[in-house]
Amino acid sequence: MIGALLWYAIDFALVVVFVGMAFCVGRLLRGPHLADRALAADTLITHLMALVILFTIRIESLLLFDGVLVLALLAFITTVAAAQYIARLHLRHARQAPISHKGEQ
Amino acid sequence: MIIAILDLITIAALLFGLFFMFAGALGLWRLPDFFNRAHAASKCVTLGVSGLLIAAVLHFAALYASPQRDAPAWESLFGAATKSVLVIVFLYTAAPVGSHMLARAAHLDGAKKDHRTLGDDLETDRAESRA
Repeated sequence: MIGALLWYAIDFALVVVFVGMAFCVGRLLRGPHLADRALAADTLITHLMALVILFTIRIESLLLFDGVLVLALLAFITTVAAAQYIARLHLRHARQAPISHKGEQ
Repeated sequence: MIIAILDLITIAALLFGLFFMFAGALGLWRLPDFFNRAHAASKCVTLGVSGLLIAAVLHFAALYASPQRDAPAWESLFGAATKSVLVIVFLYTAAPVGSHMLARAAHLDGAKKDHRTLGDDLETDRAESRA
C-alpha cells in the first residue's frame, strides 16, 4: 500500500520537476544579464539530475545512475567556464590596450 | 513492517528534496536581481538533489530488505550508496565555489542590483582600496 504511495509520489515529483524546468527555461530565455542565463543553465542541469534520480527509483535499476555524476561535473565545469568568460569580458572592457606579457619582451 | 517504514522515509526524503527543487526554480523565476537568484538556485542544487539521492538509496535498501528480492539487490544498494555519497560530497564542495565565482564575475561586470538590496561589501572594500 505504501509502495503504491511511493509511485504516486514519483509521478507528482515528475510533474513538479518539469514545472521547475519550465521556470529555468523561462529565465534562460529572458534573463537580462549573461550571468542569469548561466545560472539558469546550471539549474536546468540540476533538474536533469533530479529526473535521472527519479528514473532510477522508478525502474529500480542502476542503469543510468552514473549519469548523475557526469551531469554534476558538467554543471560545475560549465558554471566555472561561464564565470571566467564574464570576468574576462569585464577586464576587456576595463582596460584600453592589451597587456603585454612579461616574458615576451 | 521494516519495508513500510523505509518506504515512508523514502517518501519523506523525496518530498523534502522536491520542496527545495521547486523553491529554487521558483526563486530563479521570481526574485528581483541576479544575486537573489543565485542565492535561491544554490539551495536547489545542494539540498534538493541530496534529498532525492537519499530517497533513491532508501528505496534500494527497501528492495534489499524485501523477502522476494532477486540476486543483484545487494549490488544495487551498494552501488547506489557509494555513488550517492560521491555525488553529495562533490556537490557540497562544487556548488558554493561555482555560485561564488559566478556572483563575483557578475558583480565585476556590473550586474544590476535591486533597489531593495541593502549592503554591498565587495563594493565597499573596493571603494576603500581605491581611496
